[in-house]
Amino acid sequence: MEEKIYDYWFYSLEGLRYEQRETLLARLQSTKEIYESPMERIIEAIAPNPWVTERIYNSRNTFKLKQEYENMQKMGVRFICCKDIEYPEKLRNMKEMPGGLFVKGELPLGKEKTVAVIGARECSCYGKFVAQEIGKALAEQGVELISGMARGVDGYAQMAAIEAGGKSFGVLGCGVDICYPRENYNLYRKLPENGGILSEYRIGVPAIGRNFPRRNRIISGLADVIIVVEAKKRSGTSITVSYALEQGKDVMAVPGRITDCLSEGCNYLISQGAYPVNSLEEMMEDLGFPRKKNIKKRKNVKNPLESDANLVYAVLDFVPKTITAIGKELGENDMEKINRLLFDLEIEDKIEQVTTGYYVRKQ
Amino acid sequence: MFSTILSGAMNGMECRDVHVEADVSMGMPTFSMVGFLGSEVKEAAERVKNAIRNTGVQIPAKRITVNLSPADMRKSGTAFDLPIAAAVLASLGEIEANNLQGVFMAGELSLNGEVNGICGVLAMTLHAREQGMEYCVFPRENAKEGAVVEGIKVIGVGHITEMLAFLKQKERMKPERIDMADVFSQSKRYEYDYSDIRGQKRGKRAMEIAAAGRHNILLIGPPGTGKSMLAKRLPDILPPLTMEESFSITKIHSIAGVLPKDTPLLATRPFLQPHHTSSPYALAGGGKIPKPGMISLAHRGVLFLDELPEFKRETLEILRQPLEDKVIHISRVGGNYEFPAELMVVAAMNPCKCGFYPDRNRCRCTVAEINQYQGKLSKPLLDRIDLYVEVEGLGYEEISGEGPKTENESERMRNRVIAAGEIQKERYRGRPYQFNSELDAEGVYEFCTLDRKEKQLMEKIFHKMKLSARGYHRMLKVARTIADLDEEKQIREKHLKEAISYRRNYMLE
Repeated sequence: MEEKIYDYWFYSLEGLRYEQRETLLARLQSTKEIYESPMERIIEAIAPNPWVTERIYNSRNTFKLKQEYENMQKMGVRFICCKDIEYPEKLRNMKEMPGGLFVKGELPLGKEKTVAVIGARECSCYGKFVAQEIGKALAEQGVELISGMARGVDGYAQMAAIEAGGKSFGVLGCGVDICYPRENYNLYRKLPENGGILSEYRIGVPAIGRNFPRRNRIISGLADVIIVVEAKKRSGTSITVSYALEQGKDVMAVPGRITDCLSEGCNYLISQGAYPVNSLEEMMEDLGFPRKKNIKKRKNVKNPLESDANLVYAVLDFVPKTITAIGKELGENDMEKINRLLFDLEIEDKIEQVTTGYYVRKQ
Repeated sequence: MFSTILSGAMNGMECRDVHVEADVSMGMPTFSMVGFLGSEVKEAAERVKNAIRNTGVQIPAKRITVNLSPADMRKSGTAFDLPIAAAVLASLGEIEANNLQGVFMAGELSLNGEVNGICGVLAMTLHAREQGMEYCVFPRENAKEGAVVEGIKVIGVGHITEMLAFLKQKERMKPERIDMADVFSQSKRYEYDYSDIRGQKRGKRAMEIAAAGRHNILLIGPPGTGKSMLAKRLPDILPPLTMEESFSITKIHSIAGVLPKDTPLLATRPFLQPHHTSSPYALAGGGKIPKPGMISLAHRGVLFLDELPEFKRETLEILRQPLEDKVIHISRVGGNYEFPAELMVVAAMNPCKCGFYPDRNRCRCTVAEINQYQGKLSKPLLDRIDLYVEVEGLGYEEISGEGPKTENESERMRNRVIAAGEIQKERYRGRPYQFNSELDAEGVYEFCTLDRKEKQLMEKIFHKMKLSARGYHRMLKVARTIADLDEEKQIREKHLKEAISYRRNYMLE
């Protein structure tokens, strides 16, 4: 059997902790040795732990392993273990560093700056908009975007980065052959060509809840800076942030209104010392990209709309509002007029209907 | 001696002749009944015997045979008691057999000879008139219902002796009289008014458009925002019933046995609100010989489906065909039945399970849950709904009643709806359409024409909103109705723009 397959077997063994792995390697020299040595020696090396030893014993099936490995290669998935040169430098020496990574596409090379953009799955329209803007701005500067390919903020930021021609990497909590969540299938298909999809779990491992918090350490590990777009106070995002702080990474957070529960987490982070993202330009400056002339100033572009439409537009924000609510805020009783103005704005792509009768601002 | 009298059996919407024949002859003293009878009809023997005895007439020890012809049609119901009694009495020589001619009779008997109410009196009376009958004899409590039919004398009897007295001397009993205009105007009441609802301008406007073009409408909003209130007032802004419509509605309700006792003629449009646990049969009409279901009871009125996603799928699928054809076909072993079903559907739903989407501070549903909730609805059914409107919670000003209150809003809305209805009637004269909502693709091309400017706008809309062919037609039909409410010949830009605000969202698409 090839050396590579022994590595594949050893480094993707489920349930083997980092320390156990190191002890085994120190005692028995190579993965091939571990594979071939009798169980007594293994048990001798690591404290008798029936669950792990049973795993090792049962998985030593040369025929099956070879087949698995071949299958994986056929799918275009590579296995990069921590001995390989390709293994990301940033993950080395990380606490509980993954023994190996399954990769579809490529891995971040470490030459470019990497930023993780993370946030709530059930994000608001505001979160969606900011995630997209940040993804775009980062991509324009060649920053590699790391995220979890999750629904909501993660997916929106990654998609925006890819669409702006940048690179993005999705770290999954399941096998890289599984698209989870299903609604991000489009992103899943595009990622390998514009970056990569990676996971520490073998091919075919289903999306199980408990795997997801652990993969967050890889997201924060791969990134130089973590930007939190929208998060509730207690959420998966806070797990990533605590990993990031443990790993000594910088954390930035997008401030929000104190009344929005989806901004509670971000505002709390800021109060704890995270950099606030006050504007895209400032954010890019903080990331080490000096303000350039060619970064478009979105805010000051004058709306070429008639003044009434401007009024309606000014009332709208990222919290969905109904036509009635807009009318009330403007003190306008003529529903037909507001209808007409909303329609014009929608056709101009300035606003969007999120669900029946509810409108939000788009830019 | 042989005698016969005419009665009728309800078979779906139509009444069929049943000849009740009796013969008294020598032989073993029995009372036998034949003619493919249901068990409740067989039991009539005991009721009739006792009722006759209790009038003081002695039943002789002779062989009495009763036959209900045609003998190949299964008979059910208790309406044959009275005619059986009449036929038997005639055979016994208590009444002149000739006196039974020209009389149509139906009613249920008690043991003490009292006559109880039955279903379907209006339909029977209409049938009897068609058959050239001179008199109809019905239980007193239903007689008024029959009296609305002109050209036939309806006699209400409360006891078997009254029936006997009438058949002995027809002139003595006065036929039931009813002042049609009086009944009609009296029962024409508008209980609710749209001015009871504060705010909800957009909801009211949508209801008005729906009523004007008879479009089906879906109200979406959090719990407790007045969706049911909006729906409940819809029948009142539809044009008042004509006598003909009133007849057909009363007939259906009478057959179903749900006509209120003190209302011989329904003069207001029905409003039916089936519970979301209703079975398909409750909606379509069930039974061996089916009785009209909710869909038919809402004929020329409104069917309100609250909590639309909670309805069972099979129940909602039932609606598809009647909404298209305006009649509902029901097939049973005994034959095929057809009930009218020209109705408007108003449906209401929450935007998600908790009801607060898209208010993300209150709604904790995941996107998948919302999609699942809204996606539950059957697309073919949604395709028959033209208007989608959000209903929003009220502000303090409206709840506290401090806001401006309008008076007689329903009346003003009704007047506009009537005017728009007249325009449509004029336009579709000689065509298979009555209202804008009924237009098919061809009708849309012919009657929803656009000028150049509007065409350009529609093209923009088509690309921007990614409309389907159905969605495109839906939008034009609604725009047509809005233009009719404006009394405009041509669909203008503003009509299109308003119509588009009632489109359905991508989750329901």
